Amino acid sequence: MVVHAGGLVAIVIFYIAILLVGIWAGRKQKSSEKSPDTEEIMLAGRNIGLLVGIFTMTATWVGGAYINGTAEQVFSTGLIACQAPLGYAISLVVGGLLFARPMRNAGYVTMLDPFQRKYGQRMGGLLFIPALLGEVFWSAAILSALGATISVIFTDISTTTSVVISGRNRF
Amino acid sequence: MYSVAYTDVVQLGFILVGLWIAVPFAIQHKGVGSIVTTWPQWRGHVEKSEIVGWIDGILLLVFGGIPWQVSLFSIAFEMQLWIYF
Repeated sequence: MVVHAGGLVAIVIFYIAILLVGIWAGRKQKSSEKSPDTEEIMLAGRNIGLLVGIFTMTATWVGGAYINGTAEQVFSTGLIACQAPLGYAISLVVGGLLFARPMRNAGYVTMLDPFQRKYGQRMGGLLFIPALLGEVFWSAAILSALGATISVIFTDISTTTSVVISGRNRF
Repeated sequence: MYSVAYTDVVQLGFILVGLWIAVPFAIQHKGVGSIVTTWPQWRGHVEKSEIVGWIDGILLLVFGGIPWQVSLFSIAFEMQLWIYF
């Protein structure tokens, strides 16, 4: 098996850094709140700093799938046909201007909450399905990007194999 | 969520640094030409008949993206500052 040593070292360093920061942040949370409720866990008590807020919002969109996909799209169809960066950027602005304040004031956690409150639990359950599908297919994009990374390091395995390997490591 | 937020910071840092490290290697590759002279190729184009579909795609990303990130919008207390201007 042909292994790209530099790439392997880079990935190992990356995962160790993520693990350490994750443990550190988890300890920080425990010391600040003794028994965190769901909202505390999902939204960090609606109280993270401006800088971390900017980074985590950017990272919602900008991940492996976004970077690889943008490069691929610009190469294969050109800059004008590459819509994701422009569309997601406008989406952030529109969401910030129209949705952030009312959602926050009403204490909503996700976009399903206002619909569930107005139309009942059945509607909330129904709307959960497209949200779930969105997350599942998003995961597929992330796995594809991870597979692309793995296939650079183990140069002689197929894309399918590398996607499966990265999927196993992720879960 | 704290751990997600802080690992996001690390992840973006890696992306930023990693991509800039890759730039000089990418430029030196023999398959890479001048960014100026190849502009017509990487610019791409949208046919007249494709304009409506292009607009549809942008609207999908803009308004489909909102439910995705709206939970994050309500996280940061300081984000409210943005909304005031």
